[in-house]
Amino acid sequence: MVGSAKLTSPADYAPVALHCVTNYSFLRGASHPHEFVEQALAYGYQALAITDECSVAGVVRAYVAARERPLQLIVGSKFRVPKLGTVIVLVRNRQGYAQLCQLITQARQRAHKGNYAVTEEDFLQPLSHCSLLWRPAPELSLEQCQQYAKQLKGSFGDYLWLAYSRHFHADDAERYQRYRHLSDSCQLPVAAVCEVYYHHPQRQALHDVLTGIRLRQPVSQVVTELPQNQEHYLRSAEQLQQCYPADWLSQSCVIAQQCHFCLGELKYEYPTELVPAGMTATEHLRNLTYAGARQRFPQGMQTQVKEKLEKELQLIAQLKYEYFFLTIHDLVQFARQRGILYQGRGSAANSVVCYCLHITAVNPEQIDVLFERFISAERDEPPDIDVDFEHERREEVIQYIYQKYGRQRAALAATVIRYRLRSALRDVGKALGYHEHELQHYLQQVDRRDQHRSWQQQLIEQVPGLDLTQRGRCLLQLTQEILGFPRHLSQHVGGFVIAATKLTELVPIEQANMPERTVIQWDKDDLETLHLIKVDVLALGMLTALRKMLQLIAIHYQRCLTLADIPQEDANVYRMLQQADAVGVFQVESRAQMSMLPRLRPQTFYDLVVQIAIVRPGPIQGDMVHPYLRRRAGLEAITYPSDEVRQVLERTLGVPIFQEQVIKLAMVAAGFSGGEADQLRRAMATWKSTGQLQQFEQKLIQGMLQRGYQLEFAQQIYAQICGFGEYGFPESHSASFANLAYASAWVKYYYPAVFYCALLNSLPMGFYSANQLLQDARRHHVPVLPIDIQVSQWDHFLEPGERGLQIRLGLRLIKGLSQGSMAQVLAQRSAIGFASLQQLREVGLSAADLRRLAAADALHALAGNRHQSQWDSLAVQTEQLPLFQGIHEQPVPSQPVPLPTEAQDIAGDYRAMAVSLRRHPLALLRERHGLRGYKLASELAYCRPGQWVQVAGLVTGRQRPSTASGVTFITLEDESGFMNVVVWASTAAVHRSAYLTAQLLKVKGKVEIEAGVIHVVAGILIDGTAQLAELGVSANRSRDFH
Amino acid sequence: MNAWLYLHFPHLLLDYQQALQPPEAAVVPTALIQTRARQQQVVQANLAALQQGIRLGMADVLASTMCPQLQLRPYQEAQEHRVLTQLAQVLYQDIGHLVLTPPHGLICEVRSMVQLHRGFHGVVQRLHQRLQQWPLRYLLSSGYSPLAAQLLGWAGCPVVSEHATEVKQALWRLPIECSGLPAEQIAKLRDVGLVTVGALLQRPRAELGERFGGALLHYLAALTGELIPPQSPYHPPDRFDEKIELVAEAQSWPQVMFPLKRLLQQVEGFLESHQWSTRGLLIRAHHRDGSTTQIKVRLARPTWQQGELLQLSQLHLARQQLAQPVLALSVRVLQPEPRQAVATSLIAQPATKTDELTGLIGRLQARLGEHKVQQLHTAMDWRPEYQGQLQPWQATAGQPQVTQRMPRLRRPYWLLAQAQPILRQQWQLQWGPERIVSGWWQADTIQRDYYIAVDRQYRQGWIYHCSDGWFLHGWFS
Amino acid sequence: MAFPAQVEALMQKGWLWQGQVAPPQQTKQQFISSGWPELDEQLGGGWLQGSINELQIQQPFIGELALLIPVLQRVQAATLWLNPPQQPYAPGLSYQQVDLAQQVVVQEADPKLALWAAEQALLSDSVQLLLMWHPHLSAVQVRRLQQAAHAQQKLAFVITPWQSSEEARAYVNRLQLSRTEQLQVRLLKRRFGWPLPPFPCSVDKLLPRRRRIV
Repeated sequence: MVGSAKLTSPADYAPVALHCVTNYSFLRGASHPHEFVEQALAYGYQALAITDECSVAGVVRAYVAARERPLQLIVGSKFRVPKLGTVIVLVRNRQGYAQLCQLITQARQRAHKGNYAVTEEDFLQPLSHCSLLWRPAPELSLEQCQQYAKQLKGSFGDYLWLAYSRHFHADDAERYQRYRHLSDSCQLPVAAVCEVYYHHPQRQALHDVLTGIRLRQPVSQVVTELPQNQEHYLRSAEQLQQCYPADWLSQSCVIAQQCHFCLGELKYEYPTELVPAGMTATEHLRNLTYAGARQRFPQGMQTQVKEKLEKELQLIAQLKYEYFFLTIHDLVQFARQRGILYQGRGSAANSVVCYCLHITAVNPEQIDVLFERFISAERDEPPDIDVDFEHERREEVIQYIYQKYGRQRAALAATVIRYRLRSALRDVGKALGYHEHELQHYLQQVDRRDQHRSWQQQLIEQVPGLDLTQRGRCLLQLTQEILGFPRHLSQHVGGFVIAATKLTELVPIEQANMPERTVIQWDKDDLETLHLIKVDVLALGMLTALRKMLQLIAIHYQRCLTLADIPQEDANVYRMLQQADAVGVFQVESRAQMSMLPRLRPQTFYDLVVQIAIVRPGPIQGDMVHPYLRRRAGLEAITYPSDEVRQVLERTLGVPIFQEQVIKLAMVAAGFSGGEADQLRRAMATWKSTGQLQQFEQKLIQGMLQRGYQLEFAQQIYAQICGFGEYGFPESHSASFANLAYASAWVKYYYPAVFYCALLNSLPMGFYSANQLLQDARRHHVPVLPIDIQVSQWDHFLEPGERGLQIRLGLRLIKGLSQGSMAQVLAQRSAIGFASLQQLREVGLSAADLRRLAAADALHALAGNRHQSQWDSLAVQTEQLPLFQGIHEQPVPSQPVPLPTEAQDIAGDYRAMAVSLRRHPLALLRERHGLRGYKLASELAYCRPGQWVQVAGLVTGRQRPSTASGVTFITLEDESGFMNVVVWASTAAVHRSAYLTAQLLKVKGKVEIEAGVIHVVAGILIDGTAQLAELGVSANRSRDFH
Repeated sequence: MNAWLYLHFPHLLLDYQQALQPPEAAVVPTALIQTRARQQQVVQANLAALQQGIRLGMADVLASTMCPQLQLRPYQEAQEHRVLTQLAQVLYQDIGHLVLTPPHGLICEVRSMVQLHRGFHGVVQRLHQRLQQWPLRYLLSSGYSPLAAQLLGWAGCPVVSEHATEVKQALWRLPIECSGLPAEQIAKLRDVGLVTVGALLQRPRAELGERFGGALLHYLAALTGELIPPQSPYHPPDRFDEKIELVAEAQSWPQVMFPLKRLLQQVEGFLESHQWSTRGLLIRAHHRDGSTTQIKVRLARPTWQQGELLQLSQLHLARQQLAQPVLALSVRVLQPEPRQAVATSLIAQPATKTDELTGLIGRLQARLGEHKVQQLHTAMDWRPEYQGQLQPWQATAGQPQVTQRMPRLRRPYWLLAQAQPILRQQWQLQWGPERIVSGWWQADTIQRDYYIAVDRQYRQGWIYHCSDGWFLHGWFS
Repeated sequence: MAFPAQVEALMQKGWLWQGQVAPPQQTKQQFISSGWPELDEQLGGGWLQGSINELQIQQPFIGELALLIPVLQRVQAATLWLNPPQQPYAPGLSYQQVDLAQQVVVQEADPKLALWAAEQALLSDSVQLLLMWHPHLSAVQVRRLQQAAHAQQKLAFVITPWQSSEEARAYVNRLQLSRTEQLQVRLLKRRFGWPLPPFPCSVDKLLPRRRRIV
C-alpha cells in the first residue's frame, strides 16, 4: 500500500490543486474554469492553479469567478515535452507571467494553428520567475533523470519539484518507489500534484467523449486512450490525505505560497509615439479636437455643444483615456490620406470629441447626444469604438496597423467558437458510434425556435425508444453537457489590441488560420474584464459601393463630391423612398423595410434614423411599431405623462424606440444615475441569459411611482425594455447608418446608372443578386448592354449612349472566368477589338475560357449566335505550332448549327452568368400558355383589398422570421417586379412539396393592401416548375430560410 | 429485326428487401440513399415513398422534411450485385446469351431464341412469366443494338417490337440528357444546339469527331449497332454458395425460414440448370461480430427439390440453439453429383497425419464438438472479464491484429469464469487498490477496487471490492 | 573405468540406470531448461525432451503454473491446455510474453475423450507442449502417453492432486508441490537419481512480490 500516514491535525489541512486542465485546452478538459473555482471553494481549497496546455485562454474566466473569494488563483500552463516528460510552469510574479506568455507565444508560432512545439532547451533558459513541476517520462533512465535534474536546477534553482500523481492504477506502488528513489538521487523534493481534468467524477463520460472526438473515433475504439477510472476529479481534503504521504502534500502547499501573481496587476500602457515630444497627451488631444471643431463647425458651435465638448475633454483627462482617442484618430487620418471611406459608430457616436476628430460623422446638433452612454465615471470601463472601412480596402488598414506597431505589439482579439446544438449532437453522436445520417435525421426533428419544449423532449417524442437504450440516454445527457464548450480559437472579425511595449508581456499571441494574421489567446469579454483596450476595424460593403459611386460621378459628370457634402434633406429622395423604391439602398432594402417605408413615409433625416431602428425584432416584440405609426398618421393622440418624459420621447412621438431613450427615461423618470442607467442598458443586452434585469425592475417601478407616474405606465415601460433585449438599436448607431442610407438613396435618384454600376461592381453585398439589381435598373430605364468581347472590361463600366449613360456589363459576371487570365487577354485587345477566335487563342485565352465566353454569348461579334460561336470555337486548333502562327487557314465550312430559340438563349444566359438581359422567363410562359387569369406583379396595385387573385413567379426568397410565429414570406418575381406572398403554416403543411421545392410557384390567394403595401395571402400553392423545365430554363437558386 | 432486349430494374435492391419483409412493411415509405458528390441522395424508393412526392436524386435532408416518417437505409452496391446474379441465374433457364449490366440491368440476345419460343413475342412472353415469381418493378425494352435498348429503358419510354424503325423513332426523340453520355459532353452538345439524340445522329460524323473527339464516334457506332462493344456473357457458376442479408436481425430460427425458403429456391434452380442433385447442404448463420454458426444438413439420398431440402433443413435447425442474433444467412451445396449416379462408394476418410494446427483443431472440433475447443482472445476494454476471454476457436487466418494494444498490466494467470464472494477476514491485502470504473457507454458499467491478497494457504489471489461486497476474481498461480 | 562393450552399448541407448550421477552422454539427448537453476540441477539438466512428467499439487494455484511459465515462453509451436481448473487469463499470460495465438484450450469432461485428445495433440506436429489436469491416471494410460511423447519428442505435464497410493507410473519425473512462504518441490521420482526431500524453488519471481504486513 502506498504510504498514507495522516497529518498531525487533519482538520486544518487546506488542500491545493496545482494542475487543473479546463475545457480551454480544447477537447481535453471536461469542465469550465468557473466550475473548478466553485468546487475548490466548496472543498475549502486555499489555492487553485489553472494550467491549460500551452495556453492561458481560460485563466481570465477563472479570475472572474474567483474575484473577492477566499481562494488564491495561480496562473500556469502545462507542456508535454518530447523526451523530458510533462512539465507544469507556475507563475510566481509579474515578470514570471511575461516569461510564460513569451514561451507560449514561441511554442505556438513554431507549429501551425491549434498545435505547439517545445523542446527541453525551452525550459533550460530564463524562466527564472516561475516554478517548475516536472513529471519525468516513464521511459527515462535514472542517469538521464539525474542529468536533466542538474540542468533544470541550473535555471530554476530551488523552485523545482518532482510532480507525483496517484490515480489508483496497477503501477501506483512502483511509481511511488521510483519517485522516492529519484527524489533521493536527484536531490529534488516531491510534491503531490493530481492531474485534474474535471471538477466532478460524473464528468468522466464527457471526458471520454471529448477524447473520442479528438481522435475522430467512437469511444469503444479508443479504450486504450481512456483513463481506466474517474479519478481525475478535484478531490476533497480527506481523499487527498488518504492518497498521498503527508510530506508530499505539504510540499504542494509550499509551492502555492510562493506564487504571488494576480491578473489584476496587468496594467494597460498605450502606444506613446502618438504624442509629439514635449507635449502631454491631454494638451495634444485638446489641440486636435479644437482644430477639428473649427472645420466641423465653421460658424462656431452652439453653446450647448461647446459645454458638452469641455465636459467630455475633462472626463477623458480624469480617466486618462487620451491615448485611446489618439490611436483611433491616427487610424482615421491614415484612411483619409489614402482616400479610404470610413465611419465610426457604436457608443462613440455619442461623443462630440469623436465628431470633431472626424472619427464619427453624426452631427451632435442633429441627434440628442448622450455622453454617459459613451464613458461614465462609475463604470470605469474603456470606451468601445467600432470603425467601418470599405470592405475591399480594410486589409490596407490592417496591414498599416501591423506595419506601424509591429507584429509584437498588435494582434487581433480572439473569438472562442463554442459547441452549439447541431455541432454538439453530431460530434457526441459520432463518438457514441451513431451513423452520420441517423444524427442528421435526429437534428431534423428539433425545431430550435420552440421555446417552451427543450430539444431533448422534442427528440424523445419524435424518436420513440431513443431514451430507452443506454447509448440514447448518454447521447441526450452528454450533448446537453457539452453545449457551450469551446471548440477552437478563431479571430475576432476586426478587434485589434495594441500595446505600448511588447504585447506578449500581456497575453500570448497565436497563429490565426488566415495567412500573416496573429491572434491573442483572450476574447473581447476577457479584455473587458482586465480593462484592456480593443479597437474594432470592421468592413462595410456599402462604403466600397459609395466610393465607386462618387468616383463615377466625378468621371462622368465632372462633379467632385464627398460623403459630407451630399445635399441633405432632398424632397425627391424622400418621395422615392416613400414609394418603397429602395432596392439597393443601404439598410432599407430588405422586404420588411420596404413594406414599412410606405407606412412610415420618412420625410426628414431623423425619420430615416427611426425607420432603420424600428424594423428590428426588439421594437416589434416590444410592440412599439404600431403605436408609433398610428401617432405619425395622426390616428392616436400623442400624450406624455410628464414634461421630463416629453423631453425624452418628443422626437419619437412618445414611443421609446432607441436604447438611449430608455436610459434617459430611467434617469429622468426613475431617478437612475448615469452609471446605473448604463448598467441597465448592459443588462438589457444580455437579459435572456443572465436575468440581471429583474433586480432593476423594482428599482425602476419604485422610482417612477415616487415621481407620480401610474403603475400601468411604469410596467408598460418595463415591458418595452424587456422587448428591447439584445436588439434594441442605439440611436447613434442608427444615425451613422442613416447617413449612408440617405447618401445611397440620393445617388439612386439623381444618378441611377452610376448607382447600379457601382453596386454591381461591389457584389457580393447587400440583399439582392446581380440579376435582381439589373431588373430594377431596367425598370428605372437605365439601358444595359450585354457582354461583348470586343468592348467589355473585367468590371462593369458606363459608356455614353443616345438615352444617357448606359451600363456595359463586365466579364466578371461569367462563372469560372479568372480575373488574372482575362486581364492578360484584354491588355492585348486592339482599339477595334479581336479579328477572329483564332487570334483569341493566340493571345493566350485557354480553350475552357473560350467555351465559357461562347456559352455567355459574348463572342457574337466574332462568330454570331452562341451555338455557332460555341461550334466554331470547338474547331479552333488547340496547340498552334509557332511555325504556323499567323496563317489563319479557313476552318472547313460546315453546316450551320440550329439557331438557339429565345428560351434556349435565356437558359444559356442563366447557366453562364446567372443574369439575363433577354425577356424574363415568365414573359415567355405568359406568351406561350397565356397563363390565363394570372395577374402581373404590377397589376396587384389596382386590385381591391380582399380580392381573390392568381399570381405566378420565380421563387427568389423564402423567409420565416422568428417574430412572426409560423408565417413564411415567399418573394415571387415576374417580368414586372416583385410580389410578397404570405403563407400560413397550415397552408404550407397542405401543399408541402410545392412550398418546399417549387422554383416556379403559382398562388391562388387574397390580396391585402395596407397603406400602399401589397401582400397576397396564399390559399393554394401549385408547383409550376415542370412548365419552366419545358422551356429548358432553371431559375437560379433562391435564398431560402435565411 | 431487333435482336436485343434490355431488362431494367430501377429499384432492384429495395424491391428485393421488401420481398423478404412481411407485407405491412411495404406500406411504410422507404428509400435507399447513397453518397454522391459529398451529398446523400435518394437512389431507390418504394411506391409509398414515391406517392409522398419523393423523387430519385433528391437530397436526403429534403426527402425526410417532405415525409417525416420516411425510413432511410444506406444503399449497398455489393448486395444489389448479388441479387442481380441470382436473377440472371433464374433467367438463364430461358435465355442462352445473357449479359449483366450492373447496377440494375440485364441484356438478352433474342435472335437465337426466336425459334425455341416460337417468335419474338413468344420470347417476351416467356420472360414476363419467369419474372412473375419475383416481386420486382421492371421495364422491358427492345432495340437493334444493346445501347439503343438500354437508352430507351433508362429514359422510361420502352419500345417492345420486332421492327427497328419503331425503336429508331423513339430514340431520335430522346433529349440529349438521356443519351447516356458523360455530363460534360452533354453540356457541350447542348451549347451548340444539339438538344436531341436525333439531332446528334444527323450531324456528319467527321465534324463531330473533329470537335468532340473519338469517344463520341465510338458511342455513335455502338448506338447504331455498327459495332457491339465487348460483352462478358453470364455463365452459371459450377458451385452454389449464396448469401442473403437480413433487413432486421433475426433472434430465432423460425424468423429465418422466409429467406431460407428463397435461398433453397435458388438451390433448386442451380441444380436444375446443371441436372445435378446433392447429398448435403451447409447452412451458415452470420452474427454481428463476424462469427458464424454452421449447420451441416446430411441427406439420406441425393435430392434436388426445394420442398424436400426445406423440410430436412428445418429438422436440423430445430435441434440447434441460436446463440446470437443473425444478420445474414448463406447456403452452400455440398458434393453435387450427376443425377443418375447409382450407389455411392463408402470409403472411410483415411486419418492423414500431415496436418498443421488447423487440421488438428478440425479433428478435435469434429469429435468433441465445436464449442469445446477454445482460444485466448484479448479485447480493448478496461473491464477484466471483457479484456481477456476464452472464445470458440476461430479459423481466422491469425487474429485480426488489434492495432492498439492494451498497456502491459500486471494481471493474474487465471480468471474465474464467475467471481466468487469471499470473507474479507480470510484474506490479507498486499497491493492495491487498483480502481477500475469503465464501460459507462454500455449497460454493465463496473466500479471496483482490485487488490492482490494472500489467503490462509499463502495463495496469491486477485480480489475486488464493490458496492455488493468482496469477491475473488482470479489467481496468481 | 571402462565398462565392457555390451554395458557400454546399453548405456548408449540409455537403458542402463546408474544412480546419482547423470551419464555425460545424456547431454546429446536434448534437455529443455525448466527456467529454475535449482530444479534443473536436480533433474539432471532440465525437462527431458520427449517425456511426460507429473506435478502433484497439495491444492490448486500454489504456483504450479508459474513453475511452467519459462517453458511456455520458449515453446515455438502450440501448447494444448487440457481441462484447466479455471480460465487461463490472456492479459496475465501476455504480461509474461506468452504467445496467445499458440495456446489451444480444450475442456472435455469425458476422460476417454480427454485422453484421445491428449494423444491426438502429442501425435500432431503442430503441438510441442501438453498441459493436462487430470485427477487420476492409470499406469496403462500413463504408459501410452509416455510412448507417444517419447516417439514424437514432445514435452507433457500432468497436474494432479497429491496421490496417496505409491504405485509406480511411467512418468519420467514425479514432483510433489506444496506452498509455505515459498513453493516447496519434492522429487518423488526422477530419471537420473534417487528421490529427494523437498527444496524451495524461487517461482515467486514471476509472481507479485509478497510483503510481510505486521
